[in-house]
Amino acid sequence: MEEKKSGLILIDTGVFLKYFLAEDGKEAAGRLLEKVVSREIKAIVSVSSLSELVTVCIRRKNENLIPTILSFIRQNFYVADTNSETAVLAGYFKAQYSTTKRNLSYVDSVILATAFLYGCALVTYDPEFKGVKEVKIKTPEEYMKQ
Amino acid sequence: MKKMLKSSGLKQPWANQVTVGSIEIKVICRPRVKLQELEGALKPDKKSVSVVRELREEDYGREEKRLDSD
Repeated sequence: MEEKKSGLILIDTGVFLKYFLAEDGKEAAGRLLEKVVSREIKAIVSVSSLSELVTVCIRRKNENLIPTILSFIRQNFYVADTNSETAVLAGYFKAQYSTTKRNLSYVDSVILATAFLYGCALVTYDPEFKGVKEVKIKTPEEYMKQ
Repeated sequence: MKKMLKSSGLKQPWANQVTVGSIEIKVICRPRVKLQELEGALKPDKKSVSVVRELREEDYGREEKRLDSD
């Protein structure tokens, strides 16, 4: 398995939000984040997720949380930038997977390209990634079970 | 530096922000954030999957429009 080989996973925005919103089923997301904090799992976050988390905080009038969230991520995750290689690959994924049935946005494609370039699994709750062949897609529950 | 601190009459050398003469010293390294601090930190009015999808679909709509117009 790719993620075992590289020892890395990429965690998508929704996994953080599940925990930050304390939704039903947040336990698996929490356990996964706990393992990253305790360094049992090495994890990457795309810069795109940072943008999304900032937008969500501002729209919900939780601007005060932004420094705490960003510090938490910077202290525990490797933040992967989007470079030209990521951008080109994201373009490929967007063209390949944006169909009438699936709306793969640029952010989705960048996240997918980042996971591919780092050779890691993408841990996400986002249904838009279902059926992607190039990257192993798992929910936190599936990842924690293995 | 010790001399400066002494001459400044600094009472709280452990404070996060101190001024020594014309020099202002700020501690900008944030303490480690505990994961538990963030549990439920955002108001749960929508599901996380919907929050992410709404955000990305907004962009998707605009991206497709831009691509089509080219």
